[in-house]
Amino acid sequence: MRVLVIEDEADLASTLGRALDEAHFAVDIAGDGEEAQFMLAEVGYDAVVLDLMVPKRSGWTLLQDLRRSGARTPVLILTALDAVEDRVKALDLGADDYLPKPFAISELVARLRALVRRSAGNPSPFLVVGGITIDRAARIVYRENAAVDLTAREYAILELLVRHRGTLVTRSAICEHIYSESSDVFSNVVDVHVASLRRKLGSEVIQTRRGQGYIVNA
Amino acid sequence: MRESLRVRLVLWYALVLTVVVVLYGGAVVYQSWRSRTAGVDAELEGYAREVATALRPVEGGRFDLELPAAAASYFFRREGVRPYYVIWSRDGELVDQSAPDLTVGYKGRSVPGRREVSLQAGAGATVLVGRDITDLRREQWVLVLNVLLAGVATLVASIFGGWFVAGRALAPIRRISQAAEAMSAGDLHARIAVEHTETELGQVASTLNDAFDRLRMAVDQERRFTADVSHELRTPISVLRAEAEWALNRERTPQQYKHALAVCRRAARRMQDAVDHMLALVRAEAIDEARELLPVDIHVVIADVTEWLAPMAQERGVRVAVAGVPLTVKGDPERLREALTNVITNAILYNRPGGSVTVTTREISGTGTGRIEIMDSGVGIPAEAIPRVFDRFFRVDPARSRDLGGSGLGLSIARAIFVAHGGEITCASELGTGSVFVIALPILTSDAALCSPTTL
Repeated sequence: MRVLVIEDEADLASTLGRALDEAHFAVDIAGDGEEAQFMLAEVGYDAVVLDLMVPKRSGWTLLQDLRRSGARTPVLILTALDAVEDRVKALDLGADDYLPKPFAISELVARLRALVRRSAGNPSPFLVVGGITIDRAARIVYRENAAVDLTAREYAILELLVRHRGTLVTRSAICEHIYSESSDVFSNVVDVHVASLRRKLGSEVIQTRRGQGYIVNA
Repeated sequence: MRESLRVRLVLWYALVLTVVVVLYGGAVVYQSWRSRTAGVDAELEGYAREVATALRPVEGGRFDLELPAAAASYFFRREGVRPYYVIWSRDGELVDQSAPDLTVGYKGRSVPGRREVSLQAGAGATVLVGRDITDLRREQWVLVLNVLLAGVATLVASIFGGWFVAGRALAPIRRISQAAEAMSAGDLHARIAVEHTETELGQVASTLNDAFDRLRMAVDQERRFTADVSHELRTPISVLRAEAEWALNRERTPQQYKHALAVCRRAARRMQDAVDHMLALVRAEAIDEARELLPVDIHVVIADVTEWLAPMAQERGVRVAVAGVPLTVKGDPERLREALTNVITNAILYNRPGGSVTVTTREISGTGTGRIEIMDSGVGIPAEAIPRVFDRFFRVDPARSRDLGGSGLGLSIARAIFVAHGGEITCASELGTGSVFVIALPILTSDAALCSPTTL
């Protein structure tokens, strides 16, 4: 899952980056409003962590513009403003969640996961398709009630495909959601991971649409 | 409370009115009695004189009395009150009386229900004329009753009127107390509706409204300050907490621990700065009476400050010059140094390389005021930000300010210190050209001799 963190406090941004990376998010960081707007236009993020008081373009404006453009990306406000009026205003502008600073990283991670689940229309941590169950809280995949050992990338690809099951997911979309801006990847890496997934889960789960991408049938 | 005030007002009013009515009624009754009895007395005296004139002494101490017709009809009329006369000789012997069954005290007027007048006639005789005044007394009682009724009616009417008027007059007090109650219950926007500002209560109401406004402003300021403080502290606390949580989440390499600790140290420093500045501000705002105020030579303070800031100015290629007349103010040299340091630091930091800062002192003649002008050739301040530059935690450019290590409190502290010294600081600026901060302070003395400009 790819997340954009908009935070001008460099130390905090770096900590968030490391912490979210360890929680298996692909993280991009924007230090000001203009950079954030550019990145939001470029990449389809699974979630956005937004500080309201960032230079050049305030978080309020970013949020408003994002929602006006019709984007449904879940937005979590992470801010030092903790007045009720600020929370109400942010939520009414289209924010999905509001976490005042200081915060616990574990809570931020849990809230982000919940936001991503809800945005895909399924708040349950369990995704079930065919004989496969994904526990998204524990990040464990079961095949016929037996845990399957997956790498982080394999898990991320499987989770993405299952989350969007019934629709085609292109290789570049997979790259976009699995890798952050900083990682340099070729889309054929995805093919390698998918092949490995098929070996572990059986070949029938993930279908290939030649020249386009992959699909998990509902 | 209001009701009892109303009752008390009306009671006092009634008491005063009762006294007035009683005095006035008493005077009316007394005066009427006086004039009636005086009329009777004059009438009786007239007839007594007639009797005395008609009385002629004859031989052997006897008297002859031949009353004129009018007098005779007065004494011997057939109906109504019948007046009477009695005549005594010099020896006190009864000479004559108009009716046989009269009981009179000799020359007395003490018989109740009657009015009598006596006078001396010729040959030592005494004439007494009297009449019954029961009718007069009855009339007098009717008058007393009328006065009493009118008095009571007036009292009742005016008590009701007074109650009504007092109620109307005190009605604004209820509105005032309602507003004050709402205020004390936490509704800081409660105001008293003021209709007639020219009345005393209207003035009270507008005075209270002003007090409420000031209270609300003070509370708002406090609230904003608390919010600002919490924001200032929250950011470094977030860094500290997030970094520590990340480091402790699992086993890290020594490099990572080192990095985490460095981040934590930076956050702690930022917190320390914020706390230091806030304490400085609180200290500057508190009117510290314990500290003794001394005559301070502003030029010495400015020289100290510019010398201390010289390395920073040099590093940025900013030239600092001082000029003007010596000024002596009464104050706390440490505080003044702190305040001037903050303003001059700003002028150096928000400057351009090769720029300049000029500190000029001058005396405004005849006003006892000295001025310190700090002019820079820096970035300037946008017009809309000028009124806010002295606000706590206000930064014209938050990102730049943070890079320079500003807390957003320096100018607030400076202003608080100048205000505590009975002065003020104002700011004018042109974007891209520079800003000038003007400090006005009450001065003790000054020397008109111009100082030669010194360059650092």
